[in-house]
Amino acid sequence: MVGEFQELLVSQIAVALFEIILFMFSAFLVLIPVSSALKEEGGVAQVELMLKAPVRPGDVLVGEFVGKTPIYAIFATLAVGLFTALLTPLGLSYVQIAVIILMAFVTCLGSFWVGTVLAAVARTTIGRTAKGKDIGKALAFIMALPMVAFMYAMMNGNIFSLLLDPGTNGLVKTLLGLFPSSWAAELIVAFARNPANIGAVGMLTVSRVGGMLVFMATILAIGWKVTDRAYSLEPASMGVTVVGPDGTFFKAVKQLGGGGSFGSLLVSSLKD
Amino acid sequence: MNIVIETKGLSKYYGKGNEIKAVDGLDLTVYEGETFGLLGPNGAGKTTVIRLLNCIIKPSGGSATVKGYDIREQPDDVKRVTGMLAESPGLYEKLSGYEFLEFMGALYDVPGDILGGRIDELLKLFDLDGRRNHLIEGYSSGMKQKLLLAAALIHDPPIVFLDEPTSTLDPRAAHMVKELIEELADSAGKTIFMCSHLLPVVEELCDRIGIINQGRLIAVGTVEEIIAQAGKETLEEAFIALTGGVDNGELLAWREHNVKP
Ligand SMILES: Nc1ncnc2c1ncn2[C@@H]1O[C@H](COP(=O)(O)OP(=O)(O)OP(=O)(O)O)[C@@H](O)[C@H]1O
Ligand SMILES: [Mg+2]
Repeated sequence: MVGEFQELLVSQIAVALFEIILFMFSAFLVLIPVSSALKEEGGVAQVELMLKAPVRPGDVLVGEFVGKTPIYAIFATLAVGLFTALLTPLGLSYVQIAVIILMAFVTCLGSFWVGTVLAAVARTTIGRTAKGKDIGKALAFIMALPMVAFMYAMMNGNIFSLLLDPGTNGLVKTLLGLFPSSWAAELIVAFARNPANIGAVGMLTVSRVGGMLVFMATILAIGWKVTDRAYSLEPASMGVTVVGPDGTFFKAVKQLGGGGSFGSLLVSSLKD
Repeated sequence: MNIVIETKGLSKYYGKGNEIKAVDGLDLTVYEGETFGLLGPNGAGKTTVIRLLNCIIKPSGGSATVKGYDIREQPDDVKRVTGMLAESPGLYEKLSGYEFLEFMGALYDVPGDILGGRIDELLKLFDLDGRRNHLIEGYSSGMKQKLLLAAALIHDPPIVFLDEPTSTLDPRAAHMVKELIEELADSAGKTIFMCSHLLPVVEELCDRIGIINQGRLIAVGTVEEIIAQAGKETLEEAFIALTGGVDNGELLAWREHNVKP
């Protein structure tokens, strides 16, 4: 099993394959908040409460995001755990493993942040009307289709022969190379090919990790700005957040959050 | 008397080419500690005035200060000194009453050590203490209204805006909310700015009223002054006269369309 996996990692389809897997994973994480935003009812009226308060809508969104990080952290930990388990037998150094974990973590959080911002925008635009909601749901479904197709191709092995074709392989790399999830994929493969020798791919490591951090900072800033504009009662936009059922989990988070006002802010956004 | 709200030519226009004049050149002064009522027919611009004065929307023209803060330049300061009960506000249905107030307190930076005590006080005052840990989705509309009023007071603002506070309530709940408003004005010394088209409520609660129609303020003063100004017997007659009441012919005009074969 390990031998096979190692073989796969050094093969020519490795980069493209990992790029697809990580892209699908991020896309999935982006879709979760968006589709839940489109399902919720009656959120629009709450925007007034939010706008009345002396807080920036962008801050509320960041709060909402921070409040939900425990859930995202579960996904990130899953991803990280999977990678570590797969990569440990390959003899990677601790630094290499740490870099990969960092990349996986940031990819997950970044995807969730994009999802949170898109969800806010969706609520204030297409989420406003019943028709918009239907369109949104259909959209979420259509976006999920390629994932299903990929899983299917993966299961019956078609994907491997497809990626062996240089044309398809190149196309995948060019298209997905634009997404930060691919930077993580490139690093994973590069490390697997040079176990315990980070120096061999030093430049790649620095540029990909650096690129990822810059990307993260940029989307944080853009997302904050976008939300500040999207949350408004002026003509053309309305929207806000809604919360889900209570439970011991939220109580626990509230305690973690200090039990005070911050804790309850956390909880109210966590329940979204 | 100290002025707490002052508007000069305050305007808000909507639509292409600004053809909808929701608020049009409003000049208004509200003094500390008084209960001021803004009266007007549907679509007169009452809600728009409240939103402007709470910095929820931006004016198209003119200026206004609330407790000395400029609504254009110092929105956060304005928001901290005002509480607002919106016309059709949203609630987080999946929170309990207590959690909702906790959340609102956090939005207004109420310090953690006084927030708990204040929530207890408000829940008792509004007779919601027994339901504090129940989800809001199970509250009746009167209870929701009371909870929203409590939320508007969570940061203990000196000025409270109430947009149609009783219009969706049954007579008993409306009476209770009216008494609460009276208490806020008399015992707690708050300045209250309320909007309504329910004349008895305004007549009973307000020290002074302003009548707004199509975005313009057309009369202001005590109830007696306004009745006298319009040369009528009751506030209702004065209101209808001042807002250019519809005559019966106009009211029945639709029948002619319908009756036509
Ligand atoms: N976002 C908006 N876009 C376009 N027009 C608007 C908007 N908000 C309000 N208006 C218009 O502004 C005018 C004043 O509306 P407003 O809600 O302030 O009236 P109101 O006095 O509160 O009425 P009501 O008694 O029915 O609550 C109306 O003609 C309304 O259609
Ligand atoms: Mg109104």
